Amino acid sequence: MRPEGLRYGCLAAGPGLAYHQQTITGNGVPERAEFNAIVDRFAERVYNHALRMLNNREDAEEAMQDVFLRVHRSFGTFRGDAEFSTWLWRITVNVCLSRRGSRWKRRERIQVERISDDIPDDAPGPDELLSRREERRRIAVLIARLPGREAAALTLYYMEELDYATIGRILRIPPGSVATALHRGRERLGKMLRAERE
Amino acid sequence: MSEIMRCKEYRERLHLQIDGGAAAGAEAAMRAHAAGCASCVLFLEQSTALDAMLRDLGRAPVPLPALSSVRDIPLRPRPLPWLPDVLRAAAAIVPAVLVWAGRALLPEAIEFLTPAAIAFAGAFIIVTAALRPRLLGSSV
Repeated sequence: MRPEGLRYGCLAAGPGLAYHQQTITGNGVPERAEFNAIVDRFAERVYNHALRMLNNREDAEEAMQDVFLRVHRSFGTFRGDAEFSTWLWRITVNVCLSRRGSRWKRRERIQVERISDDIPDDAPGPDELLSRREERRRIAVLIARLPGREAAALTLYYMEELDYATIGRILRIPPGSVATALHRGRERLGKMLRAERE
Repeated sequence: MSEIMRCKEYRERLHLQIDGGAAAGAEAAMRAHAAGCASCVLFLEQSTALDAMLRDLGRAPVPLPALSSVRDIPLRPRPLPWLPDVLRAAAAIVPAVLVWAGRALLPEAIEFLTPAAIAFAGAFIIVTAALRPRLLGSSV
């Protein structure tokens, strides 16, 4: 049997692994301190992934809450065959896809909400800043309009900087299909951008 | 590498090249194609610009109330944490018991009971595997 500490290998690079290991209860359910350490480590990434996939702040917040709730409830079923982060991303992608699906079922259009306030502000000149922010905002809106697999692959590739193999493990598809999803996603995104400009 | 490369192939390879995963030896054919295809040259420029924009998206901070609400999620242990082990054990034990009981009690029906037990075990494994995400959440 795999030693308990190795199940949370993702935390090895983080602070206080020894403490986390001590607080894991016998059935693999994390204590509050360990759970909060995981939340602190991954919340921003999970939130931003949900924001790109759903393009709606409220939905992204709810999705993040749902992800961490599932992480806690499913800790006992994490078999440790993959990295913890792969497991977490799989849950995140599933939650976001499911929310996109239920929104579609309710026949709600993906809300083109102004999320430009959520775009980081780091460009120098005012004109350049404005155009870069506008471009980022448009791209963020358009990513949420892509088919689920393409949006997930693009978000994992560009925001999380994961390689094809890891994205494939998360989406349960071969690396070749990841390349295809990324290619199609970028092609579609380019077409949508051009259509908006015209 | 064929000297004739279609636009579709060029564009697929271009994205692989942007990601650093293009196969060696394709560059010459790609250059040859781009030299005679204005729309693919435009596609190259647009793809490079789009790639730069996607890399530049950045991350937004999590709103504090949302972060607090996640940190304050009531942590309850999963109900029935022993359920997966029981289901796995049942998948193995029930068919075995059926076969054993069949041999002991209905020796004339054993020819029927053995395939029935195997079919039961197979159906049980398929159903529990299909329901696993609902019952237990995602697992790796």
